[in-house]
Amino acid sequence: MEGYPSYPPQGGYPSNQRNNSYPYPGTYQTPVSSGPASVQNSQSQQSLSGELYGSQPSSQLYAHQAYQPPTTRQLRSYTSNAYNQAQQMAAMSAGPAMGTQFGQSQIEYVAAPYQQSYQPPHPQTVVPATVTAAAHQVIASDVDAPSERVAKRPIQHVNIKTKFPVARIKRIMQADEDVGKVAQVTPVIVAKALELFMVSLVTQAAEQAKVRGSKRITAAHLKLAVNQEEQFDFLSDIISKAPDIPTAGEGNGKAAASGGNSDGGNVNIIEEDGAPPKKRRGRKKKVSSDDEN
Amino acid sequence: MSDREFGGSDDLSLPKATVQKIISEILPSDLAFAKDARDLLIECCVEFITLISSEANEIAEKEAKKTIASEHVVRALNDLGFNEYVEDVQETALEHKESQKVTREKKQTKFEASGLSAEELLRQQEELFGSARAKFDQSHAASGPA
Repeated sequence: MEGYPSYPPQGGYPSNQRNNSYPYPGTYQTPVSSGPASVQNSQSQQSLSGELYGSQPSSQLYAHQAYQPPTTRQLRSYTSNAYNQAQQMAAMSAGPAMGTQFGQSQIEYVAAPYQQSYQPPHPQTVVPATVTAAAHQVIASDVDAPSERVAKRPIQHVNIKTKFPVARIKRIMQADEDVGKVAQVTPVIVAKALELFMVSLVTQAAEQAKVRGSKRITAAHLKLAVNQEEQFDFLSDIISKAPDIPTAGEGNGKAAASGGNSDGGNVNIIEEDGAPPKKRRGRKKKVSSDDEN
Repeated sequence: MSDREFGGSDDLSLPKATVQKIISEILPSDLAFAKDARDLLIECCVEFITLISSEANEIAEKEAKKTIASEHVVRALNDLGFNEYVEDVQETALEHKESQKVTREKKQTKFEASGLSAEELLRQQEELFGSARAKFDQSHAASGPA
C-alpha cells in the first residue's frame, strides 16, 4: 500500500477526461498530503512525485508520452528500482472497474515520468521503436510456435502421454499449511517430477515382481522396491502398512494379501491359487531362481 | 473443473483412473498392476508431492520468498536425492515458460495491434462515452414526458 496514496494527485486529475475515464473507487482517492512525508521511502520517488504531480502539468506528461511511447516490454528490461516501483504502482492502480486497454495505458502513464527522470543507461531506452518492432516479430512467429512444441514432445525419452491434473497437484501441495503461494510453473514441474518418480517406482516394483516370477504387481512388490531403494526412504511410513512379500511362509502371504485388500480376501486367495504355482516356486527357490535370471 | 467435484478433505489424492493409465503406459502389457498396489502407489505419490513441496517451501522461505518458484523445486529435488529428475524438470519448466510467453505476448498484441497511442484510445473512449450519454439523454427525453 505504500506507493499508491501519492498516485492520484490531490483534487483529482487536472482534466475532466482523466476523471471520467478512470473511475476510481473511493479508496483510491487517498489524499496525497499524508503520503510523501510518511509513506514514501525512496528519494527518487519523492522527487518524482513532486515532478509528476506538483510542478509539471499532466498534459505535458502525455505529450512526452506521445513522442516516446514506452512499451511494457521495454519496462520489463529495467531491473532497477524504478521498474519495480512502476510495476507496483501500476498493479495497484489497476482498479477493478478498469478495462484491459486502460490497464495497459496506465502502466505507460506511470512509466513515462520515470523514464524522464531516471534515464537508466539501457540501450533500449533510446530506441523504443525497434523494441516494439521486435515484439511484433515475436508475435508474428507465435503462429508457428505451438506446432513446434507439439513436435518436440515425442522426442522426450519418457513416453508418458497422460498428464497429471496440475490443479490437483497444486491443491495437494497447498494442503500443507506452511505452503503459501505457488508459482504457476511449480505444479507443472512437480507433476513432471512426480511422473519420473512414478516411472522409477513402478519399474522397480515390476522388477521385484519379475524376480519373484509374478505377472501381477502387488503392494508387496511395491514395498520391496521401496525398501530396496534409498531414494524412497521417505515412503517407509506409508509402505509399512503394506503386506510383506510372502517370504516367510505361505500363510503369511495369504494373510497379507487379504489384509491389503479389504474388499476381497477370497478373491485374492483364489487368484493366488490360480497363479500360485509360479509364485510359490519363484519364492521358495529364490536362490535358484536368482541363478536363472 | 471436474476437480471441484470432490470437495472437502478427501480430495487430497490423485485420480485413480489417471494413475492407472500412466501405470499401464509404463508397464509392458503382460504385467498387471494390482488395485491395492495402485492405491498404495497413489499414497506414495501424494507423499512425494508433499515432500517436494515442503522442502521447496523451506528453501523459498530461507530466501524470504513468499512464492515457491521452479528453482526452489529444482533445489529441493537435488537436496532430496532426486538429482536425475532435475534435467527433465528444468526442460519442462522451460517449455512451460515458453508457452506462457506466447499467451502473454498475445495479450500484449491487443493494445499494440490497435496501432493507437494511449491518447487516441482515450479519445475514442471519450467519444463512445459521449455517444452513449447522448443516447441515454435522448431516450430519457423521449420517455420522460410520456
